[in-house]
Amino acid sequence: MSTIAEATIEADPNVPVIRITREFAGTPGQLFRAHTDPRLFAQWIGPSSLETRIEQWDARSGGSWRFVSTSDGEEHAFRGCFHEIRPDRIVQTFTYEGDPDSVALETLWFEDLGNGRTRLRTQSLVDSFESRDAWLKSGMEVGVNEGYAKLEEMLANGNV
Amino acid sequence: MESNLSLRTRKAAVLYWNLVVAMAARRHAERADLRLLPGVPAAHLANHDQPHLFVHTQRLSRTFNATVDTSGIGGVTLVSTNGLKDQSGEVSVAVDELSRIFAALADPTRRDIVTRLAAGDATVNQLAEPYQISLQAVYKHLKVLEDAGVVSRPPGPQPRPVRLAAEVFDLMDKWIERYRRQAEERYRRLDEVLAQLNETETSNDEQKGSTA
Repeated sequence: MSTIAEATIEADPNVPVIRITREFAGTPGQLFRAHTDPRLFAQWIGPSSLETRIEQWDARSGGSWRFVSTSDGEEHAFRGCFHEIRPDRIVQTFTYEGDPDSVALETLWFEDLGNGRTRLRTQSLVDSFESRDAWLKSGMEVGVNEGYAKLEEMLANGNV
Repeated sequence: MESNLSLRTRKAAVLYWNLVVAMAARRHAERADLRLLPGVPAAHLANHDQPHLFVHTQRLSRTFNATVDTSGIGGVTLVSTNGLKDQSGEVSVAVDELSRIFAALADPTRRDIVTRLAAGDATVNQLAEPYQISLQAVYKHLKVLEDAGVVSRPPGPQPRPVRLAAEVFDLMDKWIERYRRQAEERYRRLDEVLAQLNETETSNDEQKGSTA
């Protein structure tokens, strides 16, 4: 268990794609369930500061999903379609309802490594480098908070 | 002293830039709804229709207010500098540099140029290729970016490539790392879910004496 490496990320220089890879102590079947069973999914998808409410969930090829993240009365909804659901892969769309024109096409692969371990590979394709960078920058709440923390530190130290 | 100041100014510019680009990204991402995401109680954005972003943070009993004009020609106006009065000289220097950076990034073509340069150096001709504007107009955009310190054209044989300033790369790396860290946090929660699944399946197996 302690041998699990952290997620690796790659922003492709040639296509507006973000790839993330991570290995898990679980079978492909378990990983598949954690992505398709709404009760399990809600337990891990949102930042811990947020509550995730699944509003629509039909994890079949051609089905759709929608969930809402809430914190302090603020609601942010995300939705998409399950394009293809197979034991070893999920193809789906992902959009933030605040910006419905931006749709990411996501592919997830569950690769069996044996010994109850699985490699999860995800790929998100967006329509331009600009929107990819917006996604990357939109490590949103964290990002802005960090920005503020730095700014405040500078102000406190009189470094501005 | 002089170099200290310029280093600080530069640092401040990069930090503020980080801040405002994040804000701009957010503004872009939340076109229809400018409420902030949770976790940013101290920050406020003005109405999207107005050519200003209003940035406000108040902690450590200090207040920093900046009105950022993103209309194209604009820059930064500090509308209030409570707690910064002692360093007002430095602030105005920083603001001057910031104004140029913000103004440089206020234009969509220039933002696009910056984004493309993030993938690697390019000549002016290469940069101009996808745009329906004259080469001269591209040079004009580059001049604005150069003056703001966002890009440089290191001396050398022609055609000299245009290069993104190192700070910009640092920022990109930070964004990517932050994004990665968020994914990692999410996957640690997934680790826990899988551990629970493993536990229940093991105990089920013991009860049923069969595999799941």
